[in-house]
Amino acid sequence: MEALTWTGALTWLNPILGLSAAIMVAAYTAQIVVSVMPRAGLRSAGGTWRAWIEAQGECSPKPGATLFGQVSC
Amino acid sequence: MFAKTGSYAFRASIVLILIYVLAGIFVGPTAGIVGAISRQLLPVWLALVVTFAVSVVFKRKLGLYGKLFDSTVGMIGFALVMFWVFTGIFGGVFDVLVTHDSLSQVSGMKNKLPGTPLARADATDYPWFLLGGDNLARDVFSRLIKGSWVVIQIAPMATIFAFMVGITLGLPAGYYGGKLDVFLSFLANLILAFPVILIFYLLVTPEIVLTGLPSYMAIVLFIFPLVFVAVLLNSRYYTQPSVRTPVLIAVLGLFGWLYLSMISNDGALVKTSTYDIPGLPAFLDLFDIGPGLLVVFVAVVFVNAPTVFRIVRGLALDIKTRDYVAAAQTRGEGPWYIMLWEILPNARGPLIVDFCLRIGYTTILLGTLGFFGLGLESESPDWGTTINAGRRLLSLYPHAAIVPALALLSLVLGLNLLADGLREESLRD
Repeated sequence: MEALTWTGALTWLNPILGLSAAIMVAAYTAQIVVSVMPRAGLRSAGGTWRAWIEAQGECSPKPGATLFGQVSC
Repeated sequence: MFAKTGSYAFRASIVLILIYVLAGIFVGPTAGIVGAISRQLLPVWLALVVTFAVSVVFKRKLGLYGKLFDSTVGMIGFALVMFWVFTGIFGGVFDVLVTHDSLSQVSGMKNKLPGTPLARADATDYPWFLLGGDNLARDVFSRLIKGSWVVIQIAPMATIFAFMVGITLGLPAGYYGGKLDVFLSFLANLILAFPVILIFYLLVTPEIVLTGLPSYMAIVLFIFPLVFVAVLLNSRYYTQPSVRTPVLIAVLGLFGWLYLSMISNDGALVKTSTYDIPGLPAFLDLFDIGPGLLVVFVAVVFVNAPTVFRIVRGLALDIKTRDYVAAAQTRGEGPWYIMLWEILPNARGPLIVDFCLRIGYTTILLGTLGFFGLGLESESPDWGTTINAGRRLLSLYPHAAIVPALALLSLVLGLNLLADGLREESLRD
């Protein structure tokens, strides 16, 4: 009786799975790295999104003035 | 862009893994070790498919459980947990998944790598050790399956008992407050402040076991489900004595019998060199818990109960200020009715989530106990003991330790994801 390998006759699938897994890891890592990078033009002004928006002078949201998570002015 | 790429790659990986599994079901060992294991686990796949199909079809009628199937994280967690539950049931109860006896040693298979053929296999023998052999020439795959049954039995049961203790003591502590709360909270803090591993070591020390301490603890801790059910039914049917009395007699009779069976071993509640407290006669004793298992069970319940107590107490402190509790008090309902039928149902969301998380912690605790060789017998196939046995030759033959470690990891990960999914869905209400 022959010793079994891990994937037997499906060995040809292993590089595809490896590639797919590598792409997945790389993509999610890149997503995490990009998400912690500071965006161009974004300045800290008081530490909160409300303070930052008010500092732009375009919009002064009233307390609780959010609609589906977005600011409504 | 990265998110989309990652999502597509994730789906591609899942599809490829499914191809390995499905191909394995049809061609078996031709698809290698993965294929052979996949075919061996066919009953588990079928049970999973049926469970998911039925649950998805009826999910709108199944309450919080049904809502779980709206959450991807919850479904992945549920799939992982149910995989091990079905593996435990099919392997442990029906004995259909294992390829060899989990305790038998096979000549020439010591520390053999995964996929090694049996040296002198009969026609009736499964021809390979799918996940290799351990340092005592036993089949790692079969031990993994049998070990899952040990874990699947003990972890949820111990968690249920811990919850019974925590709820029965936490509700009055939170509801009544005052000196009762101070006293019970002090006791809980006392236990929580003690190092867990040290408690385990103390409980399994032969000198301590000889004093009968684990048996005394079992007598005290295992009575809480009985008390809980009695109070629950009594408070519900208090105004209907014609229903209450027969229901209480029937339920308490059954639970009392189970309780006495649980704490009686060989016709004695406690058997030491100085004391012999008689228990249930052998012909009435439904089952015996081995002394090692009893110690593990008692230790896990003892360590988990104070944490549950604190959670329940906190929830009761919050919920007792609500209007519906005041309304029940105004109606003249008794305190236990309010605690068990007004406060407890409204605390179920966080408790269900904590229950899932706590099974995970209990599973890790069991693994830790097994790893330290505490409680269960050294030949027990539970994952902690198996990891401990395998770690001695980890650098040369890692499979014997890595396989049960991955199993433990996947079960606990599944329980955590399941708890996350339940939390996510319960917060949507």
